[in-house]
Amino acid sequence: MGILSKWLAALALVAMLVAACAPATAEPPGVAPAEETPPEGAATEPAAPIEEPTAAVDPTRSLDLILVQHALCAWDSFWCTVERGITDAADDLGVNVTVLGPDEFDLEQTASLIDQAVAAQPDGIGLTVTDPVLFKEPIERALAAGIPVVGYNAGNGPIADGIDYLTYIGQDEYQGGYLGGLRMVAAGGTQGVCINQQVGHAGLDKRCNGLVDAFTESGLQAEVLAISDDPAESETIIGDYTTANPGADAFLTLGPNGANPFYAWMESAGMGAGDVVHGTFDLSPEITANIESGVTLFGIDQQPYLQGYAAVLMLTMVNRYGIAPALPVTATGPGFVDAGNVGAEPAPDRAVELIMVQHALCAWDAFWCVVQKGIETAAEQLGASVTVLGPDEFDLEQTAALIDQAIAAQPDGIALTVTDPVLFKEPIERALAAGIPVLAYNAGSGPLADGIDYLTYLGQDEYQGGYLGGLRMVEAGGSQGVCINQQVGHAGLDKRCQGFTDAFTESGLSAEVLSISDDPAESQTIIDDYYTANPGTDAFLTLGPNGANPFYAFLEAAGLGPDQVVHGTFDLSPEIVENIKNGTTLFGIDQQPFLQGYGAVLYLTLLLRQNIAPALPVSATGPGFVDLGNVAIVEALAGEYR
Amino acid sequence: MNQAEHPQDGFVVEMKAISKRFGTITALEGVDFQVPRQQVMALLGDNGAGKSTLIKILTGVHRPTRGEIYFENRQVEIDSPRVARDLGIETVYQDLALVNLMSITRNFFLGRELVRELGPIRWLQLAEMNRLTHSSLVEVGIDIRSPSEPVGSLSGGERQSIAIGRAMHFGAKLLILDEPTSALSVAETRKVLSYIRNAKDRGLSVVFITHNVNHCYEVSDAYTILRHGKIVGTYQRGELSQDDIAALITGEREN
Amino acid sequence: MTVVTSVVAGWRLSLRRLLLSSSVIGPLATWMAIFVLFSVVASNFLSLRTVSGILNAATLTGVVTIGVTLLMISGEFDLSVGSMMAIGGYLFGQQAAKGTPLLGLLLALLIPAVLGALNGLILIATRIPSFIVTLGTRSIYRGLAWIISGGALLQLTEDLPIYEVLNGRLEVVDKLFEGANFRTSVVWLLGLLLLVQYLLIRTDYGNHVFAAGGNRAAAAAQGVNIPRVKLVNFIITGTLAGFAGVLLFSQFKTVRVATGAGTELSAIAAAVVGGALLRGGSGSIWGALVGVLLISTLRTGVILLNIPFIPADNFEAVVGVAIIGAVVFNDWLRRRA
Repeated sequence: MGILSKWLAALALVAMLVAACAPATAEPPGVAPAEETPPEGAATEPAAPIEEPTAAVDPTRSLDLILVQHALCAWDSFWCTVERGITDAADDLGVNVTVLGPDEFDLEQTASLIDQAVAAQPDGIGLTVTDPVLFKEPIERALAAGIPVVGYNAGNGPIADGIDYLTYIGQDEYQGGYLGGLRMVAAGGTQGVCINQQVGHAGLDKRCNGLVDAFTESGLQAEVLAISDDPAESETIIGDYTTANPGADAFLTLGPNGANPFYAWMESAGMGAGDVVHGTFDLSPEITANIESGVTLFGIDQQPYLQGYAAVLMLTMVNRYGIAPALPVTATGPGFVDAGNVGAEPAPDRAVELIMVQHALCAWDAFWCVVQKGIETAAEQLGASVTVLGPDEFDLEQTAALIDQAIAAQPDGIALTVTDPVLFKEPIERALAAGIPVLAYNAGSGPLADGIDYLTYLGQDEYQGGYLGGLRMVEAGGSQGVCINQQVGHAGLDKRCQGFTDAFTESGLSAEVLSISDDPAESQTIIDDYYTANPGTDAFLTLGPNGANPFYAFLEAAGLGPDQVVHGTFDLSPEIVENIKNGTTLFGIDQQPFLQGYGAVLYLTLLLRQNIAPALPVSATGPGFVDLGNVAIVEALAGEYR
Repeated sequence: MNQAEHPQDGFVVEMKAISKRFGTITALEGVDFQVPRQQVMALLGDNGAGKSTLIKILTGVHRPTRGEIYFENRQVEIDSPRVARDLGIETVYQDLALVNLMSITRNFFLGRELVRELGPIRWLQLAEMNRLTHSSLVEVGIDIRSPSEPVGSLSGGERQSIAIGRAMHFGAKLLILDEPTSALSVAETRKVLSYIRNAKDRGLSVVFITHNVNHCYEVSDAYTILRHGKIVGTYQRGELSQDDIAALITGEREN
Repeated sequence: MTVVTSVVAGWRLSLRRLLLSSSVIGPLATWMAIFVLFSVVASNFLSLRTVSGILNAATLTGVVTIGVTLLMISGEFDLSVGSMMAIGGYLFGQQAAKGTPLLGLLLALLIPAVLGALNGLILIATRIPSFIVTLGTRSIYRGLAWIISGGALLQLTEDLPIYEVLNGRLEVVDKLFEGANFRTSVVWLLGLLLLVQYLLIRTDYGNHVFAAGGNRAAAAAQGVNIPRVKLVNFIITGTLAGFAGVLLFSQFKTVRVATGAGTELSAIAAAVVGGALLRGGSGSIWGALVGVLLISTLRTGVILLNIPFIPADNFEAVVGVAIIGAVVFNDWLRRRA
């Protein structure tokens, strides 16, 4: 024992000395710090290795963008708001934007303007996909020329339109009806009616579906009432319906065409504010007056300013940082106009002071440096002053205390990570009670799921990541898919697999989930055995480096390559980046933390200056796809912007 | 180190005026205890009389608060089980003697394995150990089927006998048996008693601890009786009847 | 009639001897039964690819299980092995990145050895059961892994020659047989197995290990230094966990803070399937390895069978049922003997 303990003491001393020296040295090239699988809700992902930025990658370079739209402010006042958003964005971001449009409504001419734009070889094109059939070929010529394209105001998204542009920036009709319905239920509505002036119109039907779903999910009833183009006839239809259904007390109209006869019916029935709950899409002088008088709960606006602003912003992000819009449809609406914000005038020069509270800091966790960069970039471009608060080490109690500290400073807005909804609920509600707008980024589940009434949550949409990834793999030739899940039962990972299998099922193909373990050697064998048992499998989705790592070992041992299998993965690691570059891996999905920081500042600033509110409870910053097309820029900007 | 004079000849061990306190509790008070050479000394007493405390002092588990111990006429400080063992004091505990899951040989040589070394490599001489185990057990009069059989498959008496055989083999001068027969059948008790007789014939001195005089009457040469931490008296074989001893143990009779 | 009875009795006697003398026979018989069963019912089971896959899947857990089994025989548990595995992986990987993998190997063995010693010293000093002690150090060492790593995944893309030695493809064998995918880690596992088995069965130290777990008081009475035995076992276990981290990194060139999470339970499960007793005093390294292989074989077999009503994301549950079945069968076999 004596000799042994002396030997041990010496051993311990040596070991401690070495251990003390080891982590102090700088990371060598090729060793990339990457985020560890975080606690649930705080999804994070690793950064790719740092290399010398290539000449083509300059996150501050000036850009030339062209926007093509089917109408102009010059002859349609609706578009003045859109163009104001475009100009403001161009000023904020420091890019050159040219807006092209026909002298009058003329789709043929608009299509030829697209070709004209392509010929000018801009850095990006934004356009209204007013006629997907007519515009398909011009848009594809732009894409073939390597010009990124986004759609705004008119369109259905790349998947529905069958054109491979980045995203459609516009209103989410279903969510408008759904979120409107939830507001009406909250206001006391017990039996809903969706007054539809044009049953069979896809957009309008979606609005009604949303309303009915909101009521049904709340345990209430709602149905659709068809009216006509004739206001007098419509007023009678509404009157007859309410006589037959005296319990109906919540009415959604789908625009001025429905609101107008509805107000007429109210007047004739001798009803006023507080008798029924009314919400509507769109605004008109009549609707605005009724919101002010309290008759109408809300009007839903598609926020055209945001459509113009976001089109410029997204084309800039793609060019400068390789950051792409997360979803096929980027919702600018529903934007709710209610008694709280009706008639508010934009204050574009208003000074904005924001405080961000997050559970980790760039100072001690490299992942957050990318978020920080997004915050700083947005603050500089928008001229907002932003203070970032965070604990010295992971400490949720302290983080919660920082929220109260932020409230005490009376900022114009607070953005925070909702790392623990239970713990953070009260501080956030204190901020809301003090009239401070609050939004969440990086960690959270959205106001509805968290049960806290903040504006929106900016983070990754896990289901869409799996779903869109699945579609890409089907397109790349995958016919039988498997989602390799290292932690079955983890809500976020399960959603990814659900999205993936749905994408295959909807494409008429099959996919299933394979559970692997934390032991890569074991996992490699599990994947190999699964492949032996299911030799038709040709599309593999892994949910992070934990899954990709044994998957690559399996490929190597089995002698398989991109000719036999399609591989996609969540997150990036040096190995994944390597495999994207050599064609083994089709894509890596990241949550685009830069966009989380940037978006948080942008949304609060737009709210304060332009009365623009985030459309959805969850604003997706990811999935951000990294593939052969943008892997170089992503790699070059790793750790800073990606 | 204090080289004391020979206090009295003919004893393998002599404990003089031993007292032991645990805090405020006095477990032993001025106890004198001697074991004559090549004799079986029974240490008798009721539960709690202080038998096991006394023996634990002798085997180095406890240190006495006061008193002296002489082993083969030399004063000794027994401050660990190891010291007791080096002196030649071997103890066989009723339940704690053997590891049931291990073989007879591995138990027999536990802590004293025969090892051969070649540089850093060392290995057990299992064949030699097996042979020695078998032969020394046969010598004590114990017949086992195979020395590589696990101890767990043996009967209680057989297990006791192996522990006794082991103590004898390793050159014990004083063998302490703690309640060796309390859990055994009549036939097995008889066997164990015969091993004790064998041990005595081969030159060992034995301390036989028990609370039941019937178990030791047959083999004991003398009896020391403890009650409430004090010596009641030491008696030679034939001095007292079994009933007398039983009465002294319980305190029905005072001396 | 009597002849038959005596033959049966004789057979049963010799089986009894076999089972009692070697705790590996039960698990081995169970494993072979399962192997034969899968070979018959799963047409794609009996191939070198499958067999090498089963072995590869068992290597990392196997190396850890050797130490865990040694500890369990001496009556102790170590739940911190997974964390020490991650630490070993990082220490090796960080040095490999700097071009000094040999120093990395040394550190990856030394520091987990010290951490193992710490487990043992805490146990000896506090006398808290090792299950609780290592439940605590499991988190503490995981925190240490976090500190060493800065919380970041460590992944290298460059190949070093030392990886080939530690856990490369076993080209000699793989070239001979079509479809074979054996790795050098299998050789390491086998070597360590022989070494520790030798230590356990052929040295006085091994005798003390069995005694410490089988009957602590009896061993102490015979002069066995039980604290020392346990301390040394904890050191061996830590070192092996660190080495498992090295093997992992050598193949996958990746280590995460969460690396090795759950390995402690896999190792305990394997040791028990392999005949070790949870209360200590019995078990064998061979048996534990057979336990790891048995679990690995079950997993592969269940996946290969491709049973329609068992989805691929839930085969672990079937493996769990099969583990219990294997232990029950093993126990039945023992009691029959």
